Amino acid sequence: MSSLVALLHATRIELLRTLRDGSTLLMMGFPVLLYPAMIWGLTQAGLYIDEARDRETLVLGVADGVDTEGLGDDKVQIVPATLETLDAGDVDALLAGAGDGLELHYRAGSPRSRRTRRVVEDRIEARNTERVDAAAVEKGADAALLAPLEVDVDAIDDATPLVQFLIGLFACAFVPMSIIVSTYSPVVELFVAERERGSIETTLCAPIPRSRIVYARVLAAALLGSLAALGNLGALWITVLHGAVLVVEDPVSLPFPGPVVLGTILALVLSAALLVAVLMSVALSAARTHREGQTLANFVLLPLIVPSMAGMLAVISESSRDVLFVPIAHTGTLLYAAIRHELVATDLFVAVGLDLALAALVLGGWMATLGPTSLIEGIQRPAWLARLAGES
Amino acid sequence: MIEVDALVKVYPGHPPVRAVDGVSFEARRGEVFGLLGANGAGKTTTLRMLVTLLSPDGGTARVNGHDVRTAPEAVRGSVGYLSVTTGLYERLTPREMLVSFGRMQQIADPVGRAEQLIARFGIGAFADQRCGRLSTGMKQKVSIARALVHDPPVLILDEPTVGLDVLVAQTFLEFVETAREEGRAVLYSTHIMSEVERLCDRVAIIHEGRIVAATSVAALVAEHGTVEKGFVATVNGA
Repeated sequence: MSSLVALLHATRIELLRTLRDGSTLLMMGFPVLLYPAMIWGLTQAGLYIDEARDRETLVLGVADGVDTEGLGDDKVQIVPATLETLDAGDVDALLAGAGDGLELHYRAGSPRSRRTRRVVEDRIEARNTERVDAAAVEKGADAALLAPLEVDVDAIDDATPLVQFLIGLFACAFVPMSIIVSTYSPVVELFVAERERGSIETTLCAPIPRSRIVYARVLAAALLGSLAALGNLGALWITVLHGAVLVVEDPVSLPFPGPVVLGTILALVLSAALLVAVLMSVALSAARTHREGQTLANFVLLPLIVPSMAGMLAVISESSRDVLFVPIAHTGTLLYAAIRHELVATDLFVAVGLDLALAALVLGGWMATLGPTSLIEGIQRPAWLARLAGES
Repeated sequence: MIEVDALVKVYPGHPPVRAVDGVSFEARRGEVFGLLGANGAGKTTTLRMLVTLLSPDGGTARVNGHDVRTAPEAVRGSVGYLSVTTGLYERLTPREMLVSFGRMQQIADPVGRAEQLIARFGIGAFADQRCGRLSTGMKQKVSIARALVHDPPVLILDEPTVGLDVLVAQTFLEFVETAREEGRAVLYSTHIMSEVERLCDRVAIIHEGRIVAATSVAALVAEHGTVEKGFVATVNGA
């Protein structure tokens, strides 16, 4: 059996064991469920707000200029109305009361939602405007000046760049964090739980190199972290696509990423997950129990979340290249670039190469000095480290 | 099969603890060799060095001709190790466990071997349940099968009946007798003297890290009446 096949077999077993752990699965799958739930909630909230706006007072009035914007209420005769009462004679009454030389305008409340905008357009523009215009012209208004005020929402002709931006931005922020959080749980399960349960000797007595056990576990944790991160990205993708209806006119169709983008995303996610898995497994070599593992993992989780946030800030401030040499941060910024088809190949090689080199350096250095068994069985920890881990 | 010569293990500390201090003995093919001692005498440390879970600080040990320092993987390939702490992977089923350990041990037909062991130890009824849901007795059967998956010529058993009920322990002792009949060398560590009398051909008594007596069970019984009396007399006289 070649070393690679043996490694893959060992990895498969580690994956199988971990994927049967409910808490690990929950930890990994939670974000994937969270986004659709969030967008469902937002859509429901949007619908509720739209329905409320149906009952909202609209502002109709006459003014002495073409544009009511900037005019004080003293120059605008305001007539409250609702969509339901518009047809009931309010407009006629308004027109009847308007002074000579005043022009009629309407201002449709705050039609920020797609639905309200459509209602305003359909019910006022398409029907009442004609009545209003006719009456105003009859009273001497210039028909050319009777164009309705523009509503607050600009129609977006091509929403694809916006959606790509949103997916990229969210991916930049959430995917690195997802890698960190989702890799943590399998590392605890694969390295620490075995020490706690006592099945460690079962593994150590198998006639396979200890380094292979370590590699298989790190690889399994990285694969699970990557899987969760990709699931996270997929959920984000679907969520933003469907959630876009809240801000754009029509449903957006964004083509599924091609093999180049997918490959790029995979490389970025996997290399970052490998680095995180290595750092976690090294940090958790001082843990004897799940609880200690959770305590010690905080010392890695928090420092890793900082660069993940830095990546998002770099994207917002359009200074992504400033964090190219910062692991985790560059994972986010390059994901953003990849999703927007703006990735530079050399940046990808630099980022992935840096992640892998760091992972190899840390893991190789650790195993060369303390040995692979120290990662499986745990290190002989000094008293201060035991206290730090929360040893009771 | 097992040759131990002046084995030493020192645990760091202030002062350092010399847990095993020049232990020597030999266990042969087709023999159950008992390693007797009180708690903390150095039994488990010695066994853990023999299965390469610990590396010795002095002396040498060879298992099935392989040196524990220079050929640890070959040693592990020759040994079936079972201890009270040798757990199972709780989320794997016995069948998955046996097949995967067979693959780890690089045996020719891991699936066939797993089925053979499942039949031999009566595991079939629960072979597809996760190990975490099995009773202690069932787990012990799976542990034994797992230790034998690569058909090792040497068995190292560290207090394997601790925590087992009488019936399961009885089954286990029968397994050890069968292993001897099959020609395996069995190194059996325990402080349950009735098991020693029933199973062991020869014993070494370890006390404070040193072998204080090495003799046959028959000789020990002849001299002191029972193994227990012989053990107590030897340790008190050490």
